[in-house]
Amino acid sequence: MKRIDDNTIELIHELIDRYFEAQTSAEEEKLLRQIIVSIDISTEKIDRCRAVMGLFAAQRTAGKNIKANVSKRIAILRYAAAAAVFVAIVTISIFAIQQPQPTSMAWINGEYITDEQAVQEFAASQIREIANMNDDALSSIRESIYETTYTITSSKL
Amino acid sequence: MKRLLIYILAIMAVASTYSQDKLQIKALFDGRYHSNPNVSEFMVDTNNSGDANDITYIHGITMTDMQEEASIVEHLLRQDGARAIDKVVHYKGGVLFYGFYQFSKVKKRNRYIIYVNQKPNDVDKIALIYIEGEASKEVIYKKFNL
Repeated sequence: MKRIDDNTIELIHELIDRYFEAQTSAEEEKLLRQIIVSIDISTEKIDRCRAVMGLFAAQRTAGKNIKANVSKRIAILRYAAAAAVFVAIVTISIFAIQQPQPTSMAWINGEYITDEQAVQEFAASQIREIANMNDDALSSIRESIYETTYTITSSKL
Repeated sequence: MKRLLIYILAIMAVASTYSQDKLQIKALFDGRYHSNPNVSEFMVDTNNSGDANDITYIHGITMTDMQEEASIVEHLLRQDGARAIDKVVHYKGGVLFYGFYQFSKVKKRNRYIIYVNQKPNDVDKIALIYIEGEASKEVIYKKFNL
């Protein structure tokens, strides 16, 4: 550390005052930073300036570290996501090959059913319901169908 | 999650095999009603083939107390009906009460749609059944007592 006289200290104080009044140029700030880290003097102004400049320096360093950490974390997350997707695709593929796919299924009042017999019984019940519909109009349709199988090509539908 | 995956894969595998994909009514089977307690949907793949009376595949949907959907179903049927090779339709009380449609064969299989809306009989129930198989129209009539 350099030892300096009172006049120089006074000049440093003036520079610090200008620094806190935001009147220093970038070069002057750089010079001030170099001075306060190189001198072995402790005054209230110099210590305050050291604290402020040190804090900013620390923040800059921390900021760089945070950015670096975030970038590193994002890169890791990207690799992890890609790996997860790959594993999921492989798992699903293996799973799809291994699982016998249901040939009958139903959603009865919101409930999903794959029991083949239950599904077939339900389907049969729905078909029976149509088959057992007792309606004059339907009866006349049935008669028409059995009498003549006709094709409607110019009806509403 | 596991169950959901099975379900999605099963739907993809089974649905893609059948020719209802070429019809507008397939929109009714896209899963939009699966969680609706007023709707039941069933899909039966019999894997039968070779017999002239066989029905290979049935995919049906029934809706209770959902007359507001009738216009949607009728609209889809109207579009499909325009391409039917045979159809019998009957209107009652201003609604499509009954419809039977036969479509051209795909992969040597006949395709049919049967639709009934029982609203005119004061029963708030709609049923639409898509049928695929080698069974002739007469066999379908007989099976469904049409």
